[in-house]
Amino acid sequence: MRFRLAQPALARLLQVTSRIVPARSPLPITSGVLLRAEAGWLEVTATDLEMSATLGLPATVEEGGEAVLPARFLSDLVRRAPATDLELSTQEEALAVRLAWPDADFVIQGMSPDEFPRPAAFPEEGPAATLRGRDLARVVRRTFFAASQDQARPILTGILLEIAPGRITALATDGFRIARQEVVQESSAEEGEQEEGAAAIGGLVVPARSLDVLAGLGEAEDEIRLASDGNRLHARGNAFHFQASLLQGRYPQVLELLPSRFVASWQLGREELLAACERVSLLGAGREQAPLRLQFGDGRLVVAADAPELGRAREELPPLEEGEPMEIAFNPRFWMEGLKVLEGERVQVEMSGPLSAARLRDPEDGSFFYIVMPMRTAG
Amino acid sequence: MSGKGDEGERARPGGGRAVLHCDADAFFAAVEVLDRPELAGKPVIVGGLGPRGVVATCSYEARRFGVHSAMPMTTARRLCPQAVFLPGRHERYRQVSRQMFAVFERFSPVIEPLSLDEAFLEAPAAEAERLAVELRAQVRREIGLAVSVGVGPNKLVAKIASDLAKPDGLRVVRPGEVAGFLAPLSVRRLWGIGPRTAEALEQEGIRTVADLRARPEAWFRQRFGQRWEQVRRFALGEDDRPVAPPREAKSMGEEETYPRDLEDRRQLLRRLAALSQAVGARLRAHGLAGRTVTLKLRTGDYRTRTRSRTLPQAVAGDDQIYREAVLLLERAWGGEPVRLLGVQLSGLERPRSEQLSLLERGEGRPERLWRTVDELRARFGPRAVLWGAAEESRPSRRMKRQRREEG
Repeated sequence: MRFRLAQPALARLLQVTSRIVPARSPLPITSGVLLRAEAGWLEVTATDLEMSATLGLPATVEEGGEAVLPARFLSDLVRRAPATDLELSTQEEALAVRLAWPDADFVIQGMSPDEFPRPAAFPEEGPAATLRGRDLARVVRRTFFAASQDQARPILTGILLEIAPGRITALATDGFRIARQEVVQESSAEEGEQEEGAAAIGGLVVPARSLDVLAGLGEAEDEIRLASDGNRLHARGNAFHFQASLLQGRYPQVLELLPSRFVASWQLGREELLAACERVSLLGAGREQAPLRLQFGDGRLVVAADAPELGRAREELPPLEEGEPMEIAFNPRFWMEGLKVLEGERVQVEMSGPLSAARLRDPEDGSFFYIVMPMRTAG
Repeated sequence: MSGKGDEGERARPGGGRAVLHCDADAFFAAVEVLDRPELAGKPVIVGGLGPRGVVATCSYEARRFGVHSAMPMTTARRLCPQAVFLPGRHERYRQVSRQMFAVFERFSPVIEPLSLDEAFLEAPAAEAERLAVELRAQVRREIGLAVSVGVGPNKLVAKIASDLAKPDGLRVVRPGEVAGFLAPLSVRRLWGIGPRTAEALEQEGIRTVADLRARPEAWFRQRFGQRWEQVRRFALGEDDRPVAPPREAKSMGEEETYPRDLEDRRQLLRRLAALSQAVGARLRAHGLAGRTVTLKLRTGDYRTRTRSRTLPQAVAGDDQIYREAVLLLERAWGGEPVRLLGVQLSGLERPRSEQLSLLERGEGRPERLWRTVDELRARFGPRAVLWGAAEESRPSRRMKRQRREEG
């Protein structure tokens, strides 16, 4: 293997792929990246066994071949190299690769390419859908935070994807709140129908971390083709191929458990509300968080918190639209993450009781909602 | 440069601070008058009306007849037969008390409640008098009650000042005035000097604080033993106890003294059920649960026994408390006549606020049952939900029910 590539291009490729490389792995080979050069094209592959990403770039390839090099070291070195053409070539010593530019010469001990776990091929048969990269990124970014981090219920560490031609829906829940975002692609709907093999891919549960990586990879792509072979989600763009193992098991039907009707609906200025909540909740910061108490009524919203030994806090806000009175308390982080992910000027807060789920949404935008369960306050 | 003395001044708790002692005048009686204006100007006596009842509060009109709180009700009836006697509505008093404390809270973040109608507040010395005037005005305007306030450099002086300001007055004692303020007062005004000690002191010719203060240190040592220093400091008008916002109660209990001793086991069980229900409701109202259940039993011949058991988990449900209380009764009671029964929960814990889940709902959690019961009782009255064992369990008017709370 021998190829030349401009330093900034290679640095970017390695930076993106090293996001996947696990810090510690039972399989040492995965601490490396696979470089594969062939006919004017260089591919870099990284995997943590749950997902893998392959990125490609045009390169001046003098001799095709493969090598596996330590990901972090290679990435750090290339990032610090001058902005010039870099040349990589395999050496006579087994598995060693020489990285050189004028005046510099590094020989890096590699690992055996034969041991590197290869990604499965993109399933050309079967249902597939095409999406804009920024739409995929949007549904992931707006649900990612609500997925569980707790391995006790692995299925909830995933994001539930429903993919149809021209439409993608993502839902995440950690059992305490739900974020759901839908994106409809106006223009691609017709193309989708014409497209061969276009079909709905329903009910894929993809680890949130994998989707976050995919969102980063694919954000700039005009078209990403998604398919599933039942065990993995595959995504292919112009310059990358990504795959992630699916989480197996039944995803809970959380939306079915929600109140059918919200009895109290209030509209407030979103940023004002968020700022007030951030100030009031400072009281509990750093220790077990004091519940944020919200009292809707009498033409105002009172946001309050009290933490034994720390003090009390209280702020009042005028609503933009008033609803039925309600007193409810939330975990401040869960509540504020919902307010943060909304983008509009206004937020609509809908509640059906102090112990029932509340819904937050932008009254101008029906594509997203956030559901959050309250806290039962002691005393 | 500031000398050593200055630093000591600053380091002392309350340096540059004043203490306000706020005390609502004849609180229970005043609330009754507030709700029934036709009682205004009449002697009103609130307390236990049974044969063993005592006066909780009486209006100033009743005090003119020599009635005072803690006096046996029978004595009060003799002294002032024309008074209006009321059994007391504690729920209502608590409600008014909460309103009053809500006003107090506007004036100081550091409040030490002493009872429903009395509290210490800490305030900057320079503003104390203005705050006291304004606090009295706001309580009068918004609630309609008279609050007497004493302002002093410490708790001791503030408390004595408010006693002297009553009724409906304000007394401010500045640091330089403390010695002169206390000098002519009876030694009985000082904390730690009860009626018996006071009598003994009077025998020695010590009547006023000035008399006491004149005694040498050695005399204090010899006269008061271990607590001599404190007594002497109080006599000098010194008190460094800070205004301490309340810590949580360490125990909660209810006990009843019966007008006629109980001998029947079924009767005892019914009373236990009623006591368990009362303790449970109070625990839950405070958001607490307790791990140790204690039964107190006093026999007709005034022998008191307590038995307790510590549970693996804190409980607050009437039924859980009752179950333990019955087991303890079996251990404590040998069939003798019973004069007093009490149920107490200690090892109190505050169940933490609980994040509700979308997925695990409707689990059979016992707290849910009691929460519903408490809500029903709050809405429809304490007898809206009764359970079998506690049927007809209201303490009879002649039964003296006492709440116990230890901090």
